[in-house]
Amino acid sequence: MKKRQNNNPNALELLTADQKTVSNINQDYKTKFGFADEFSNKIDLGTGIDQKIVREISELKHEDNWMLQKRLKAFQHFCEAPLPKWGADLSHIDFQKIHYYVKAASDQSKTWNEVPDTIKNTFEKLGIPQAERKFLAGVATQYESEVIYQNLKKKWTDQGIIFLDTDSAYKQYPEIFQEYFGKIIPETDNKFAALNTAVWSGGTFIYIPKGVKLKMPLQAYFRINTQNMGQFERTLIIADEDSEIHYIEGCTAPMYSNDSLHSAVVEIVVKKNARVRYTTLQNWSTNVYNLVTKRALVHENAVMEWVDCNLGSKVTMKYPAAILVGPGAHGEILSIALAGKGQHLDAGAKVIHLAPNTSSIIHSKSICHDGGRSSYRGLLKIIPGATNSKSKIVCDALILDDRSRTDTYPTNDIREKNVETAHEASVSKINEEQIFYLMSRGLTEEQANALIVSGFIEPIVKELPLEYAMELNALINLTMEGSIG
Amino acid sequence: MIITADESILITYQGHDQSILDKKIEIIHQQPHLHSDILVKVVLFAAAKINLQVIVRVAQGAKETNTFLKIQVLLIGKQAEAKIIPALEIMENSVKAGHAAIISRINAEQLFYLQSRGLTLQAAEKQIIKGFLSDPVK
Repeated sequence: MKKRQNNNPNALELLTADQKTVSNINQDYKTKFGFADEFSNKIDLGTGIDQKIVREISELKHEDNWMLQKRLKAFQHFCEAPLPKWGADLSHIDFQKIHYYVKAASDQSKTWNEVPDTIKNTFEKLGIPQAERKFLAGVATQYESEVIYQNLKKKWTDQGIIFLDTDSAYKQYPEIFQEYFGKIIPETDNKFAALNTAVWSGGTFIYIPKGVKLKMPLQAYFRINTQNMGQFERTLIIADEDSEIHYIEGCTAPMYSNDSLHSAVVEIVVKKNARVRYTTLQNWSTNVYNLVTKRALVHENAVMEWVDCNLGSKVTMKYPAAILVGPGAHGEILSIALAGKGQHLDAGAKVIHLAPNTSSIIHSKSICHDGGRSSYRGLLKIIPGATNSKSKIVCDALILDDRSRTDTYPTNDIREKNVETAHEASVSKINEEQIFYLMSRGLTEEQANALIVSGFIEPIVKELPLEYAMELNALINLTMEGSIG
Repeated sequence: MIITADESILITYQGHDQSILDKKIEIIHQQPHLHSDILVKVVLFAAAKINLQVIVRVAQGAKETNTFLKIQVLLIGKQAEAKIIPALEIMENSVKAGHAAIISRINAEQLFYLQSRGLTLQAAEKQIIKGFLSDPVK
């Protein structure tokens, strides 16, 4: 297996090559791959949150005092902070009905029969393998990804890359962890970041050493076990000087969750001359409130790129941020939001220029159909002294029918005269002439609509790795089914 | 402000010294088939500050609306600050709506050109500002 790995860095090929191993993996999983099978150790602290729960979580994880204090302080802030007065309606969230800590595979108690038919149909139409379907629906753990992960892990370790779940990183690399944890997004940042800090569990930790350039994207998919399926995941990425990394989280297939709140925190440090791209594909089932805080600190001449695709969830409020602290830093945010029936996707971007010669680009595409509502909410801030900063913001919206709604709320806060900023936005419906033309060529109205939507988001989709781009297009075709403008 | 006919709206503002302007403008389309062009021009001198929110709202039923909002801000003063929010709220699908916001300083090349023709720096700046504000009036 080791030899094959060296000749064959491509993960997909590995997948096929390892099919045989996978078939009997359930028997010797523990012995061969060294994973503790924790299905029997199910721990569920029940619903609701109070100080006792926060203490219990910390105790279960055998954490040091500083982390416990941080959790408690964050919990305090969570209780005091009001819900945001802007954006989507969050008043229906019942914080006492949510599970804040469920250890390992408690989702296993769920059966395939409980998974809604709509989600099963989506799996069917996207052609997702049977084994993966159960995993994605949260009814089984995926062993195959672990196999690939084990193979790739050695290669990464040789280069000095640390790629772990956040809980293990906290135990194994306490110095790095304490230096960066909660520094970019402090526990008092906002109500949901505070909640995450109080009860966080799972997530991804990545450290890329100086000068290491990783060509193949790191994917959470490879590392997924039940632990980071959590709703309060905490991700920390540190890219040291001159390094390069592309991280992909999420999946185009719908993620089914019984619990209705997902509140993650993602912190990224991009050091001098480094380059980080963080791609998210979010497709939660439409009962989930997805309230995520994402922020990157970008140092001298470094580049941070967020690629953010939001398709699912009931309510999303997510504004990936790039704080440009070093001269010459560059931030780029590309986002897609596709809001369908009953969805309100309030997505956007935030760029803060704190140093001279910094530049940023924000490109947002939002589509709403079938009564959905999509919003772009953005902030561009340039402080005095950030001379020669340049920024360009483009947000386009497409409305497919008269029940849907779209808004843009861009804030441009400019406090330095020696800058150039430009902002444009456009809202339009699908051009009837284009539809007519496509239909005259034999497409149905549905197909024509879907084709135009695919074209509309193409500039962003082409930034995704091929297999993701194909899946995303397939998914959009599927979502658009039955929606005629 | 409710749009009742095809309109071109021009709003200009000059901020001097320590002045602070905090303003929210709402432009509402309720009737179908109307066209509006909204242009906001702002010049900020010295330490003038502006906090401007312009919302264009296209209500349900305002079909075939065509609206464009453009905000241009010229920062002259060293301590001048501009916070601009051009927002769109669209509740109708068969519309065309757009907005653009540009915040910039005086173009250095234009200044250089005018100075090369014998204008002093102050006179050149004055000409450019005058041009910036009077442009749409023509």
